Amino acid sequence: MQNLHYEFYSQPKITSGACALESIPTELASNDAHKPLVITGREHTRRGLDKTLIRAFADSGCPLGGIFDEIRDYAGISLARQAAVLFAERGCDAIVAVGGGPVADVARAANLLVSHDTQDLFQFFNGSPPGKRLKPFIHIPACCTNGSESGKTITVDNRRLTSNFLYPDAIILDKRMTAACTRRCAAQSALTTMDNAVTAFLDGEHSPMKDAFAHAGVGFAAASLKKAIKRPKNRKHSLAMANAGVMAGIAAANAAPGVVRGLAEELEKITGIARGVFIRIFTPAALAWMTQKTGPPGDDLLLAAGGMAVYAKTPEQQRPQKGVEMFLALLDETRGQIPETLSSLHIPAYRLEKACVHAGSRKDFPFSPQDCLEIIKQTQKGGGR
Amino acid sequence: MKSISKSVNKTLNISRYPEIPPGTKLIKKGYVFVMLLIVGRAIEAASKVDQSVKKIFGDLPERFTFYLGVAPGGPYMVIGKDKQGNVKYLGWNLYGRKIDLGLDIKNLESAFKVFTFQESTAQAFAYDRFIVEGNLPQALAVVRVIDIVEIHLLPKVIARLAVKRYPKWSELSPVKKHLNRVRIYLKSFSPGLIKVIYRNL
Repeated sequence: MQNLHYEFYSQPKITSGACALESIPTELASNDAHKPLVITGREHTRRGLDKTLIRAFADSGCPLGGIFDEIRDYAGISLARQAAVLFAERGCDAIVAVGGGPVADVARAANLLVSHDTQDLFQFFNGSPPGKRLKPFIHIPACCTNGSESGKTITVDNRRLTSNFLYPDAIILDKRMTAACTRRCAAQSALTTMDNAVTAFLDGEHSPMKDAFAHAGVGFAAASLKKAIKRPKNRKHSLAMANAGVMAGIAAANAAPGVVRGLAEELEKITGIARGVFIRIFTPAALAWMTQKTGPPGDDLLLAAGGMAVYAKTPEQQRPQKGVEMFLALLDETRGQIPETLSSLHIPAYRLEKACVHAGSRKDFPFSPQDCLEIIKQTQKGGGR
Repeated sequence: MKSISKSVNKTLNISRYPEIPPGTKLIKKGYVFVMLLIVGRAIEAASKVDQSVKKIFGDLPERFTFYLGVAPGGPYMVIGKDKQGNVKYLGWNLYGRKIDLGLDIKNLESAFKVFTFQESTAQAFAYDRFIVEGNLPQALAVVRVIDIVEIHLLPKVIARLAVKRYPKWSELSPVKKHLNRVRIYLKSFSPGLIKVIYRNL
């Protein structure tokens, strides 16, 4: 039955393909901005992505206010403040972020500071949400992503903030930028993408828009995941995976947080191990647990992961189960790049429990610490396999 | 923001992040400029030679002027219809002209793709590479004119890449095509070209 009562919000204009980078000045002009500050990571400048961006601005009439490339693998308030000061000193009027995860978080935090003309970032985390539109913000995914860049959540100094104002105004997907640095990085990005997509599929409140985004995301990933991990610098497949990441990210931003995502984020904070690793480990057990709790996911998962031919061949009653199997088979493509068992990470039990408590105490997290512990137990038993 | 500046400035060396002015791709810009000049002159010639181009321009209003160019700083080609209905290539300067229709290609790289025939004009339209200022049906009429001119100007192997659909023999006989091609080339590179260049300098 068609669901006609839903809410879906997605602000960014997505530009993908050839000459996408060169369209940034036009996007800026359409947002009445002409001098952006570029925020990126050290690793990205080392790979020469900043030079590619500078070349893309040739003949555009838009000077770059500066390239702030101090971001490594942690998004901190001090970095956001430094970027905000540079923004103000140079008289910039927009922010362009090149990179995923911490880069996008710092860029959006800096945007909050400059747009509200304040120095206190934590007022937004302490119950005073952003109250007005921010300066134009353009995001260019590059290398590794953590799946939240295209959404509305930032994590700065391990504190999370969610607001519709945090969506990028434009997302630029260009094959010159999306190539991953290593196979492991490609695998981790793919896993966060898959988790975002399955979160949107399993969300109790189905909406056709969310399903469409998640469907497209899984479809791109199913077609390119294997090749993107095998050859992380392949431009075509990395662009497809970046597309998948953006679509799944937007779908997940419109869904309730998934149990794996919450648990993986808390464990990442506590252990410092990338969340992609935990997504790989917990997803099979979590899918089995969710299937028991809320029933199997719809047929759409099979259609997205397996394609029309497999979908048509599979009897109707078996489609949900087959969809889960196909999805897990996609996750298995990361084998060899990511640890597959929790025991191999040597995390003490008390830290696992602490992560469950932290995840369960989140305001926006619909699962209890017991639910998280149950998934960890199932994982240790080898559940879902 | 000033209060943050004071505390953060001590730790941030702003001169490490210099302002970067946009560069220039002179060769690509020059190539697109020459192509626009040739296409502009060819449109003027085709409006006298080719019946379908003549008809399309006939349907456009009197003193209709349009430009095709690269945003934001050019190069451009400006084409206008005079009171008698004659189509003229007016050069590359937009200043002081009353423009009815503006076709801007969003950036130089996209323009280079179009004019090196890696993408057809119709494909570039579909990929959202154009900004149209004015009447959309008139813009599509101009795109049709450019397609026809490219068929006349270019050899079939290249023209097939540049246009939406290459006409069959039944639609455009090879004799007529080659005859028109010679006439368009002769008219395009006539002494009138020097006059236009001189007028725009």
